[in-house]
Amino acid sequence: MEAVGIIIFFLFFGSIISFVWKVVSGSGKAVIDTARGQGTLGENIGANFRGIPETAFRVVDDVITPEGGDPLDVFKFEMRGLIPVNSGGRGTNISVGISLLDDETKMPVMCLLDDFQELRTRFFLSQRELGHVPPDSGFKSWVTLGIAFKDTLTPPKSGNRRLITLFRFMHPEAEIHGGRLEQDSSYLYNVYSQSTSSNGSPIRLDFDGVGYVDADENSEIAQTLALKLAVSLAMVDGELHESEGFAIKNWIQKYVEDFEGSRREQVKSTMNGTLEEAYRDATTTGIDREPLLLELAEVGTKIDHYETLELLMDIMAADDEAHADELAFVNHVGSELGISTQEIQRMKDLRFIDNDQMVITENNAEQVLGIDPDTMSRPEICQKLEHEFLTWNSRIQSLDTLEERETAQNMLNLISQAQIRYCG
Amino acid sequence: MAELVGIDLGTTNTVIAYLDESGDPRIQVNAAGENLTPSAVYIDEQKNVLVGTEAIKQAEFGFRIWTEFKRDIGNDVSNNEKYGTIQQIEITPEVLSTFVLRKLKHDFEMARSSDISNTAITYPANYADERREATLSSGKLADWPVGLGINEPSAAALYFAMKENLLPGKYAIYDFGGGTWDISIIEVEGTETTVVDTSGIVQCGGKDFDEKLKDLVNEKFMSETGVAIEESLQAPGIFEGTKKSLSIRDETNVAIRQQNGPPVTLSVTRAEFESAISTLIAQTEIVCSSLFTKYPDIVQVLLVGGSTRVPAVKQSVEKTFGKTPLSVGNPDEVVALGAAIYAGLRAESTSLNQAQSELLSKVNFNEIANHYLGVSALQLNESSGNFESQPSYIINKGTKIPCTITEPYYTVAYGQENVKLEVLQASIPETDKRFVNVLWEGNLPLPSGLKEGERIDVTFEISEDGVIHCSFSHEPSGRNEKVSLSPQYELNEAKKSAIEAFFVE
Repeated sequence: MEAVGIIIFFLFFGSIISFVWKVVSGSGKAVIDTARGQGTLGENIGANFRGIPETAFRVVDDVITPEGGDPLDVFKFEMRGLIPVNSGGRGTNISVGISLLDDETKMPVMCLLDDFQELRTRFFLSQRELGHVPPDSGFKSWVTLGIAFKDTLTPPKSGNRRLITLFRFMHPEAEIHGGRLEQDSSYLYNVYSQSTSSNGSPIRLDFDGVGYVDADENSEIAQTLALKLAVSLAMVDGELHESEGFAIKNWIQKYVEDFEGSRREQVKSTMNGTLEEAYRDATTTGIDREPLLLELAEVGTKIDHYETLELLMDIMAADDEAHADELAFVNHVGSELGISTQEIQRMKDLRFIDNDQMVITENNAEQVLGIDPDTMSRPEICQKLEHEFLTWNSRIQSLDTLEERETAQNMLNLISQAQIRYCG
Repeated sequence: MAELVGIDLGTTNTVIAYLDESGDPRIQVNAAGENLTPSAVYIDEQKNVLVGTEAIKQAEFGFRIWTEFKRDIGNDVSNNEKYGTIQQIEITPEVLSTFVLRKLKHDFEMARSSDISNTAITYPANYADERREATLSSGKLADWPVGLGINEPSAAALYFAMKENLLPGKYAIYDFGGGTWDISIIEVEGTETTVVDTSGIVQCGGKDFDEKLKDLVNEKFMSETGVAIEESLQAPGIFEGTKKSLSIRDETNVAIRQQNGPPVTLSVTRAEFESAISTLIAQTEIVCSSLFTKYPDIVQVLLVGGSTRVPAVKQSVEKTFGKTPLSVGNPDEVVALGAAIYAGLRAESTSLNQAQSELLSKVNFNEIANHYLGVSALQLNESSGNFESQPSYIINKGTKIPCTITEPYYTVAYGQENVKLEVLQASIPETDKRFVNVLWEGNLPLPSGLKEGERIDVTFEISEDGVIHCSFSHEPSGRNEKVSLSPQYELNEAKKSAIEAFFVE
């Protein structure tokens, strides 16, 4: 696998996962020992008569506490009784996969942890091998086959959701993809579903985030709002320049490409309709940006907000002129969407560096540098100017081309002019 | 005894100093008897090279000369019209610097000796690694036995520490040269002199003052005549001379030659000049006030560099630090003198006589890391919610050297068989990789079948001689990658033979 870098965040999740394996491996060992049977065939047959109960599955709401950590709410997936399949004539090992579905939509539940995901998706799957299972093997008492951390689960819809658990006994090479078996049915030996918890009530997940289907719907709304904001920004001078239109078109194409088939056509049509409507409004009544921005802040995710700002930055830079009011709007949008001033500045700076044709003068200096004399005190302005100066003074050393270094020098000159004006 | 030499390769002038028999640093004059050799080069069609005042004279006859090339040293100048080629030989800032240093090496050997045991060259404190390397490389190409480089204000600090018996406390070494402005904060305690912080601006020097003055005079000339100044008609150094004049009087006249008609005499006041250079001074004030906030206990500001003769500069220092700055010695020479002391401090003990050893033993000089050094690592961008490859710093700027720091990192992917390695450098803790210098790139191969979260220990070390050593190791498999980033890159033989084709007179 190609390297993607090195990472420093793994410690926390690493400790949780190792804990989970410790919890499950105890029962896992029990599974394997028991399933493989002990002693002679007669002894195993005899097991039926030594009290192995009927096959049963249950989902237990529980709390576990890792060593030195906080208590975590979990679902424990348990089984007892005869294992409903055996290696028998197949001569293969047996694997058990546990999936979670949303009862209403029958769509799978997602999980944040890699170790509890399907091979190629982010949907929850707890899969483990039982090994070679002789006939008439089973568990006298309840054993844990898998665990799900409730805080890491994302159902398709928001709110309190009823879940179904699927226990699949299958070929070790069977693959579950999107909650379904990828191969033909010969790979699936048996499947059990469980929709009630160990206390007899439905299995419920109280999810206070945004479900992924809801997020998808919200994301589409967020994209239309972003599009309207982009058109209003592009039309600030009364016309949609070719370069601005190109930036918008590119953005729509990129978004539409995330979808397939009829859904793609539907999204494309929505985006084109929004574009036409926004253009019509911009050329007639004008676009009232603030309600759009408020709604976007409400429905959009962090990623939607960030991508909206990226789009607006591209529009701002598209015509080689960073108009003061365009810059002020971009700063305002970033701030309303909760993006840090440091990140807004970085995004702007990248545009200035990438486009050496961009006109930066005393007329747009305040917006370029992110200072606002109406809302910032003198010391705040001076502090911001000092930060910007030290930043560009460092960058001038690392930029590759003469044009980039000239842009950096221009920024330094601009900052020193502002320094004289506000801090002299 | 073999000679110990310090070189201040300046934007305007280059100065050579050496340690005398008693261990005192002294300036070595050039063949024309000058302490300062203008950093100017003229090349004729027969590849004869003139350096210094001789080169400047050629400009008076209307020939093309190169000046201020230090400002571009180590930068990519392939698209810079100022340079280009002469008879298929690329003329770069590094080549031009080599010509100046070669001429001065010749003069030094004529005046003293060709037996030189160690040479230290100075560079601006804010120069990135590749620009430092290019400076040192020029010295090597000019056949100076270059051992080490030292920051210009640090060299000046050494001179002050040794010669001025500074009382204990923190000092700001304020170095306003011809092309760059630098500042270092040093702490003196007994015989220990420690650099605690450095900063600088690479495009802010006396030459920029001259440019601003030229713009001012041009404006006046245009309002008088309706046309712009024709630069090729003007006497070399006319604006530098006017600037010097305005440093000692409130008003001066400047005669501007024109194509048709007699020269036009224009009056320029110091107030006008000071207004013209105010943005440059403002830049230095931003850095100074940031340092003064960090080090409010600075006891004195010591001035270095010819541009500190401009009264507005002294006033600015006084305003920012609240103290009258001190000029000690010749501000044009203290950097080279300090570099000669540094050459002595870092020389083999066998290269020193007893008097030199005794004098140098009274100075212990401690430097710091001039930049942040780190690697790239996947980190969460809180704003976008994405994981991005960003700089992760291991050695912070200001860390006392020598130093060794190890940090653990972890692989990100299941079955990852390769870790991409990058050594990064920045003057501030920049979070965007676009704005940092990549000093080295490599790979660490890992065995197959490993899970994500495999620990990679990254160790960065800066040794006393300033060399950066990096190691990346995966202990369970014993795999590791090591690299030493020497500040002096290997001499390029092709470049050397190209330079040999010229005749430095």
